[in-house]
Amino acid sequence: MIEFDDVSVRFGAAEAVRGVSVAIPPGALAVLVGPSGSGKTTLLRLVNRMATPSAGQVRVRGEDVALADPARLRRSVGYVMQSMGLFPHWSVARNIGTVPALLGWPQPRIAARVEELLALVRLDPALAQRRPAALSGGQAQRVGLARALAADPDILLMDEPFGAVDPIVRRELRAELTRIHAATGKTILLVTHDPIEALELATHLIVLREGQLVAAGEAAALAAPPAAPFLRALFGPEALALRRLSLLRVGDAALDGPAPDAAPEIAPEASLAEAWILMQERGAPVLAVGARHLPWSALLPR
Amino acid sequence: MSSTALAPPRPLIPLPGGTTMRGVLWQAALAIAVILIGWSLYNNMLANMAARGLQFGFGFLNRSAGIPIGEHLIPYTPADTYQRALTVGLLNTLRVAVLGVVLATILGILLGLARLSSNPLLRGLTGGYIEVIRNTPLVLQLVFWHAIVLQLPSVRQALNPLPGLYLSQRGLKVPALMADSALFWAGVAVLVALVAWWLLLRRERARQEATGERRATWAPGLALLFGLPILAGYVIGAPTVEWPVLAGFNFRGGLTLSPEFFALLLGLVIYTAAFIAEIVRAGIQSVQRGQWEAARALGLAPGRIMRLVILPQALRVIIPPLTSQYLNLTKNSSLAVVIGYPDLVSVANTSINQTGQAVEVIAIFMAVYLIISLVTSLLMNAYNRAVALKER
Repeated sequence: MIEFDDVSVRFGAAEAVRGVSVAIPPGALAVLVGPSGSGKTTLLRLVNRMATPSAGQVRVRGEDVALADPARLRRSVGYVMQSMGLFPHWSVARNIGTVPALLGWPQPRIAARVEELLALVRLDPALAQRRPAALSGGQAQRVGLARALAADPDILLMDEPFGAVDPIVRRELRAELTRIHAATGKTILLVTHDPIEALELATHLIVLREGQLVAAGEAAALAAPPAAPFLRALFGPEALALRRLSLLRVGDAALDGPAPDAAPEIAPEASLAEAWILMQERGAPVLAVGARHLPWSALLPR
Repeated sequence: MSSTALAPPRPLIPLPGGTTMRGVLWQAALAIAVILIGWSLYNNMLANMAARGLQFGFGFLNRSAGIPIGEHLIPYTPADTYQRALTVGLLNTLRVAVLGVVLATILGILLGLARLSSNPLLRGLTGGYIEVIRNTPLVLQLVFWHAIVLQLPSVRQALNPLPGLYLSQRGLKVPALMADSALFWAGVAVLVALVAWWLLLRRERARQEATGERRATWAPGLALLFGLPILAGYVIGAPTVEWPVLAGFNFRGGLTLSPEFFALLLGLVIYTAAFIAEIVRAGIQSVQRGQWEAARALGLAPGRIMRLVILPQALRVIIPPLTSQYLNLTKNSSLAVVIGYPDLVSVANTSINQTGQAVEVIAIFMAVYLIISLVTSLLMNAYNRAVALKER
């Protein structure tokens, strides 16, 4: 869906991105993560031509973005930014309807779409006529997400979308994003400097350091040991291990043969992380999975 | 140590509403002092006027003024009354102030945008202009422009940059449209064209809502705007234009902008535009950078970003200081006296010299400037309320 082909970006003498090649498949929730100054935001901005590569090619839906009309490209790609993105002199409804209005949708269709989006991001429809100044941080971020989704783009770019809200709201919004991603099947490219957030959200991880690609791939594969030293340092070994467990399912790891009588029961759809927690809480080395069993050794990477 | 609560100060004599007798007494004393000072000043003035054989009053307004005024928007001869002479002066002030405000706003906005340009040459040039103009006294600039205008060639060698336009020591000559029936019908044609354009715009908007498609209306609109008056000219006859013609030592016909008016207008516009440019620049820069980013990311074209997103937010910062500049321009127009343009202050000065009724005349022009300023503020405040950022 989005491909970077040996892309470099230069700002004067400094090189923000150096020879990055990575492909993001359709429907992925890809998270760009790395320390500040690692070039992740620049890489994101290449997708809708807010930045231009000094070398290499960026392809969106198979087409080179250098050949696309920037305004049309940007209207076809949703963009959510950290803060200050809402227009304070417009109502929430008009903010959300910006791109549909640019695309010349008829007014009733825009109004219907705004209503639909407010429901999707779980906002009270009564907020539609409010100004952004009357919203809380979390509500404003939901409006930003709704605005990015307004014209139903198949690609969504998010630049530190939860950076400006408090930790409790951030957790809530993460869960909301996972839900919306599952419900809409959009391809999402999200930038964060928070490794825990990256691990929690990502189906695919792209790790950058000083403008260079350190690792890229499916989150579960990257999280499996032995992780590269930089990844261990970035995410912390505990988070990596737990994330790997939460991406694997009990049904796939269970062994044939019944469990001992006293073993607690767990569903095959549950994650290994949930199995691990159940084992901890019950002090049980083995869990029952229907007619099969899950010994604690099955949690080890194979 | 024991905790101590601060006891509220006890009023001397409690009055309803929390006020104290002491406060009321102070205010009453101040009011009495103001009245006493005013009364003593008034008596002092009457005594001084009596010593010079003058009487306080506005009766002189009905006497014949005998002041020659070169430029008048209403018919005027030196035999007319002081009242009429002062009215002529006021109209001259309003003429230069209104034209000056309009032109300074246009020039100021253009300069303000140029100051933010990404082109270093344009940015540097406007920066230099603004610094030089803002930091030299206006009186000096007016005298300078007047001297320049007076350096223009004599009437017989008048510059003729465009047909019908003559620039000479006597000022600027332009062709005049004669108020006849053909001009009336041409005006009607322009109005009809504007209404038709508006109807077209409405239809296209409705079409866009229904089908999502929209056609540009500027081509048929402009065709209407120019076509209809031309058509009217062919059918009814073109409006008469009076061209200035050189006859002997002066021009005949056409409209004249006197060198004084021209120099004053030029000086005020160039001076005030420099301040307005800085106000516009500051207003635009007060809008957070994230707004540009967001608008760009949504796919708005640069012109639309400025018009729909940046300017509406910048206006709330621009309007209050802009109002001050409008007031300044109006009041600065009284410097006309140094280059001999007959504005209100200039006529009033002559009236004082001739009648000695200084207090009355100064009271009149203070009242007039106060009214002009208050009306300007009122209008600008109403406009500010209309564009202000609504919080909910």
